[in-house]
Amino acid sequence: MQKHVYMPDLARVVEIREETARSRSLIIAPEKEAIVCEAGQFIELTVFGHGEFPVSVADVFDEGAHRFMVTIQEIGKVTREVSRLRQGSQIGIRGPFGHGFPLEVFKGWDVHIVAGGVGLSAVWLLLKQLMKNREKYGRLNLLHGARTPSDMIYRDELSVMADRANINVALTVDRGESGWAGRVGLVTELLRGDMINPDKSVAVVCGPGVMMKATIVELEKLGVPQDRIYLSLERRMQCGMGACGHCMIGPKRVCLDGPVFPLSEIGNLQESSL
Amino acid sequence: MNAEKILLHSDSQKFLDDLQRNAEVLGPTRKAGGTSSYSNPIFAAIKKWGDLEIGYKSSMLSPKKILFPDNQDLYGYQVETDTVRLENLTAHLDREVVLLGIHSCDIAAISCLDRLFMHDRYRDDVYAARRGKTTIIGLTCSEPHEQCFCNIMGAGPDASSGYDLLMTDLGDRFLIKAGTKKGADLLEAGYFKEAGDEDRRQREKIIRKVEESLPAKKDLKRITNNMLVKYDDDLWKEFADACRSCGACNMVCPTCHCFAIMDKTNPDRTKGRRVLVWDACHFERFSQIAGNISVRGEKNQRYKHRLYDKLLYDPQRYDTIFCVGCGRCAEFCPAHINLLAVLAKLEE
Repeated sequence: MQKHVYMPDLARVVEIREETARSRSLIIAPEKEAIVCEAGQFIELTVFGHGEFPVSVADVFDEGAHRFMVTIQEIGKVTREVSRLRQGSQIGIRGPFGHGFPLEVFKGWDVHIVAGGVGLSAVWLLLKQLMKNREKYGRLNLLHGARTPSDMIYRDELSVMADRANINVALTVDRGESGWAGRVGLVTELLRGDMINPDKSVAVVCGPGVMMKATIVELEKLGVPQDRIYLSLERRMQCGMGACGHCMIGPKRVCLDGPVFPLSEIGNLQESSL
Repeated sequence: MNAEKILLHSDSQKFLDDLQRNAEVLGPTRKAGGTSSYSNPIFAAIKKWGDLEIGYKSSMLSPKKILFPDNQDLYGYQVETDTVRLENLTAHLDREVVLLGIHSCDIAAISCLDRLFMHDRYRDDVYAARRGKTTIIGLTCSEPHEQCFCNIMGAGPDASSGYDLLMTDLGDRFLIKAGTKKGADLLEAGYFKEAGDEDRRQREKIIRKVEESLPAKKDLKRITNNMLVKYDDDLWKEFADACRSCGACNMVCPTCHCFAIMDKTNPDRTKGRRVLVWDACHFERFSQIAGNISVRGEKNQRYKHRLYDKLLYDPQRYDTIFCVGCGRCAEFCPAHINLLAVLAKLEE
């Protein structure tokens, strides 16, 4: 056996974008094969000498994804080590794993994306793909909230996107800062009835647990049915392939059955906190 | 495939010699060191037939520790400025292994692990490589121990599949059944004799006697149906309150398979190994997510998760219940929690 499922492929960090004080985006070039990735899937990223963690693929560049991007927030022992990586550093990647967003199902529907904090990175590739085939979908809304303006990732791209006519971008922060002329408040306050026709809408939610919970409540109030509310969930998947058991929610394994789930599939599970 | 042969006790060393020609033979033995006060054999190398504990009742760790070892080295790495060198550390798996004298419950447990690690949606090629080089020679029990309930879980005392060969001790000889072509080929050796009706009758009698000394059957369907509606029931409290969250049941369980992947490095972290270690859903940090939030922060949730997984979730995914009634969890629980008592409550 030359190689096995737990051995990563080597890849290089070709560019680093500092997003906020606690998060950065890595543009990664696999050394051998390009990754083939659906929007919403994740990879396992190894910082050699420290460990491995799951992270969403936030963007792919070039035809065939010879370079792709992940955005990492320093939140634990291994992700903190990402700050030591520099251009040219060699890392390990496994995957991509899991199921992404069902783009086929979204065709013809209004799509409302609600993202909180670094959760935006898990829906970013989806957003790019929706924009690329813009005519196939109905109205497109991106509602994004961050803790403060300086905690907001992808700010430049967001402001470019906000100027486009074919997407409505609404941003908010929990706490303002000097220079922030935008809205202050919870992301759920951006959800308005006149924006959402529940009979024509699918919603996508990704962010911290409390934010997702509150957003689901609002979406349900607006009449969006559970099977059209898609969630991208975070768990500490270690194997990524359905065996290690860390990402279970009741009978579901987030790494295999998710990380994207319609709420109808997991909302009523005994262990669901949603 | 349906071959049934007789092996005289006096010929058993010849059989072992043949097995050892191509493989390492592992089985229940007390000849492998370990603590003198500990009365159960452990699964280790069988050098001569006399090392094998033919009449053993149970072991602390099941053969899981051979097919899916704790602390498995997966690969090594060396970081040199901007270059990393990787080395596959699973090459040693290229040896043939015979598991000799595995009881029916443990055979059933290996079938569970097979379904999990060699699933069509996911294949652990490290496990698959090891499994592909493993021959299973089972042994039906002559006498169960006090915690056994394989009959309730449909995993014993007889086995109908999952083995290459299955032996039953008839006193001065073994009746050996082949379960696979690989097993049948082994029975071609000259020292195996044809089995007769009397041998088969005697085997039946022994199995029936074991069956009679096992606990009364339970209505599994009723138990699992009740679990669907009793997640929030008070019945869990007495067990969860007693549980110490020590994970002993996870370790000794022959079907518990959850694991963590971690790095062991030198102090400057330029050299290390990626290692697979057994993990336990009873540990609070097992279900930790970003921000150190524990999804199953309550002991009660963890206690239930383990049993719901085995009895409800795994059957949905792998089409078989992930408890084989080996009784190890009860035997080694420091809080003396007995799964049979839980099942009795659930059957009410």
